[in-house]
Amino acid sequence: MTGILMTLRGIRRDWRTGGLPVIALALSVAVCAVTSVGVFNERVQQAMQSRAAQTLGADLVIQSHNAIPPEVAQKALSLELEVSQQVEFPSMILTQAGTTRLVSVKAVDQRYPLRGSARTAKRPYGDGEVAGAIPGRGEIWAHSRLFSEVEIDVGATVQLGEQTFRTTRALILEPDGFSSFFHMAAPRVMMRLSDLPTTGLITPSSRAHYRIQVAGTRQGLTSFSQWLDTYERAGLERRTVKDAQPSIRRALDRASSYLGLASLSVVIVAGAGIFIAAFFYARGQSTTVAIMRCLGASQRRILQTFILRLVVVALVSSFVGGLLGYGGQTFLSLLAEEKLGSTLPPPAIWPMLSGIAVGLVAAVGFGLAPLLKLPKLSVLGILRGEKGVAPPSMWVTLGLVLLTSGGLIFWQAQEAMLTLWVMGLTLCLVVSLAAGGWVMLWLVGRIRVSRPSHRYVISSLGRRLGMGSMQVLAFGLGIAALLMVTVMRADLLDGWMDTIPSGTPNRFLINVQPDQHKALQEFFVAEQLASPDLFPMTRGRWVRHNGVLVDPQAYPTLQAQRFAAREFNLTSSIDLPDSNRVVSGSWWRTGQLGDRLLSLEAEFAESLGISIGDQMTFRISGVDLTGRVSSLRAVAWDSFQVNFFVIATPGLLDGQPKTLITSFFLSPEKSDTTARLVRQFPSVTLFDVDSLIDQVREIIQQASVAVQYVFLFTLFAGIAVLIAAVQGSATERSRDAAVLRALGSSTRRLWLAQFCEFALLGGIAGLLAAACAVITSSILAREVFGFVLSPGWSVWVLGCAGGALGIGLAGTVALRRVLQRAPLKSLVQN
Amino acid sequence: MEPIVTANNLSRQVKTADGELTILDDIELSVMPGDAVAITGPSGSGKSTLLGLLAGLEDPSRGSIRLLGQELSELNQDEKAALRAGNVGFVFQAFYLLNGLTAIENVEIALELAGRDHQREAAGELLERVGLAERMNHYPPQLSGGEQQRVALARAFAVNPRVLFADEPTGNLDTASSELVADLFFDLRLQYGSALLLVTHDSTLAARCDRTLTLGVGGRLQS
Repeated sequence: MTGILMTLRGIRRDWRTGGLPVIALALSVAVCAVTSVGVFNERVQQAMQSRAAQTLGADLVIQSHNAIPPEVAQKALSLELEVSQQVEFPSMILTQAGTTRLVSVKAVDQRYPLRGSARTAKRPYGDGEVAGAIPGRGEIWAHSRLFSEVEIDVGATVQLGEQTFRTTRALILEPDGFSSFFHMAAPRVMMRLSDLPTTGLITPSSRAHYRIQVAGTRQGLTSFSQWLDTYERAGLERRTVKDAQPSIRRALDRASSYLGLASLSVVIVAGAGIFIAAFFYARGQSTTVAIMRCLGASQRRILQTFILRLVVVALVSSFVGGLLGYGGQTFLSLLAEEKLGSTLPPPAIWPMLSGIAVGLVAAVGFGLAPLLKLPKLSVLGILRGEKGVAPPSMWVTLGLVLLTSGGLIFWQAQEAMLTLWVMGLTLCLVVSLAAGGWVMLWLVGRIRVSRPSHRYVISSLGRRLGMGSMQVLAFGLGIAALLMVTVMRADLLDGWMDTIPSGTPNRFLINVQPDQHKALQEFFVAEQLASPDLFPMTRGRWVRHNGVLVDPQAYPTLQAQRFAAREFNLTSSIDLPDSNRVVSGSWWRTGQLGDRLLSLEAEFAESLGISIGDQMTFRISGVDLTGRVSSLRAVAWDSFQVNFFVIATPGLLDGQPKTLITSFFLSPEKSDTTARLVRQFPSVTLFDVDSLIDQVREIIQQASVAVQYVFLFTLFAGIAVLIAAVQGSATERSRDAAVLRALGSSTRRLWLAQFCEFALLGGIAGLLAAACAVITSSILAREVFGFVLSPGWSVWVLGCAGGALGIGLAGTVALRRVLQRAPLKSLVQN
Repeated sequence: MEPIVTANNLSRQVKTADGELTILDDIELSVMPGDAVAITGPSGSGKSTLLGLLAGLEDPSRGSIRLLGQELSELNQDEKAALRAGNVGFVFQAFYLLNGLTAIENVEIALELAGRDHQREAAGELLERVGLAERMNHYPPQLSGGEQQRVALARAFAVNPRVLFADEPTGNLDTASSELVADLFFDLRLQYGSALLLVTHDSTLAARCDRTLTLGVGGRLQS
């Protein structure tokens, strides 16, 4: 108890003498930032997931080839989740004219869909309207192409199994219809589930997909997922948003990565502030420590005393920062909701607790190293006024900072490889800024000027090389982070948005027969549309991996099981497609086109445990064909170009049965083209992916809005760094200002000298920060966002000019009390 | 002839936890051009504060100060600084050199602030005069205490001041350095004819001035 009271008294005393308030400020800002961004991120992520959930029609889907046991739906209902059931199966439809056609029937209950909405039209390929209900009793909705294929109109009667139905609407869009559209060769017919028994189509041996859609609160879904983990029933497949369309998943992953990295930059910048403040705090305590040592305090006791003070300050300021952050995110969310025009889900409490934990970790990680030197200072040296506290050991500092940063980055990234990437980049950034700062300040110190007042500014920088380079590092980190979330944000997000430019293909054509190729090209010319590239597509089942029979059930993940079990769409290509990038191995050369080689999408290959050099055997029309994997590719799924998991050399697929596939852009004003296309090529299947593109665009815009607010916190963290750095040199500056004032210097001249010094420091930090921001963003663009970044010149101008002006003004303002103080007061205090 | 410094009814109080503390009380003082006045007194009697008030480095609580014919209470900080530039020299116990400038630059900056640019030669001559011809391009931390105080002397006299304020100029020096600095200080004063207000504990130093004033307990000045 006495120890705690002494600690509190010590903190009160140190608070007045400076040092601790800056640590507290830096920590509060860091925790406030992490909490605000954490809570805000969580809410935006949930909103994005909710939006993306529309591609599933739910938050979670369970499907099976057999009827799903009723206890699954009962469990979901008991957790107050919404449940909708569907059955999907192939069947034949018979028109009154006697025409038959294979269709894909989907029987849905009244709650369908739980997320998003279906769109229907009064006529085939008409403008879709949101369907407020499902088909009525004895009614069906059919996909537009069915009407042209079997030559009926809306309102016609058709027979399905033992029952007759009236076609009342053309089905334009199913919210959950994208996930398997390549596999759905037959047009969709939607009916109500309660009508299904009357058709007599479903028997125990029927080939049907049973599906339960589930939606609800995060807590309920988590409990349900945990229950499913323990529910042992073979053949139940679970799909979540993460298993949704690759384009949506990729967009979500990218948004999440960017927001996470942006909020981490705040912690790292604030960490620099904590380190500098702790360094000056330790230096300010040197006399106290020397006296304590003289009075017999052990090194251990001294260390304990100061660590305890740091921890208490960290606890209080983290808590304050957490509360402020929690309150602050409400404001941010309101602004975001106004911009997005939608309501965000309610905030969770855990990001605040995480933020407080981050504060404690950051306090110890960044603030401990300078304090470790306190017990070891030279008592005699301090009392003689010869020495202060030595700078902290480089290795201890580096170790602690790396451990802390690494831990925090891993906590945020949840992935070892990404952690290593970010750590490597951060380390390069820190080393480049510190070394670059040192060299530039050394060079500045060598500049010869004739006027002593100019020389005073220059020499102030050149003389404080160590502190100057630390300030360049801290300011540089802040400016680099600011540039990345402001200027580079625009470049990054524009670049990302450019991956789906306005002319992005929004229609896919499949089942094009090779003999229709020429006629289709002519159709495009006649319609004044750009002639699209057609890709061959051959369907085959994967049967052997390195000669061993493939058993889908043997794969550990449901996704891998699904990949292994399904039919593949194989293509052959001479050139690497535009939106693809080889990440391992090499693309085939001209001389290898006749070889039997394969190129796989990297994530797909990883989930199936396939490596470069592996043999894959596909069964195509009863014939087994084996190829060797020679490269792995990263695919930009959100480019909406035609892409394939597996591409073969032309030599492997020559002579195999194939159809053609293509994608093209159709502007809204050319919607009539669709009807003409389907009439002329009735066997061709057309898919409209406009709403999918809109969803990806919306995710990018939401990420963009969120990142703009992260900017604010980086700015606050930068201010904390500035205050810490300014406070470190305030004593000397105050003394110099008093002397100059006594010698007759005007206020203007004093302000100008301080401004010039900080502006030079800021300019150097800004220049180096711009270089770091460009390099880091280019790597991020390539590795995380999948495009090549072309940064504009503005980043350099803003880095240099903004750094000089911002740091110059902020430094001068931060020193205003020092500059305005009566000279005698400054001289007496020093 | 008009006095170069006068103080009338000058008082200075500061607030403390125990209430208001009077440091200087009802000080009356007049210094004529060329006069050398020593101010002595026990530690904490307010000698340095009085010097600072007379030089316009701080404002009094009450009373008036005229420096070089100007009433200081009528001037703002910049006007006071402009008045000091080129007219007033300072020598402090703690030297207060600008660590970022070399010895010669420390002298030059005083000339520059007095509106006399490009006076490197003059600054050099003064440093030679104080025996630092070989140390002109050294930075303060590279100089001994005595050498730093000699740079401070050169800086103070560089502007040919009409009045010199010196606060314990030998207080931080050993005996040998102290004597050297004191000799230089009074030689230069004679050479430049500046009035001098010297705060000191050292009775030998005080004895070299024309008159001595003593600040007693309670902040009252006695002749």
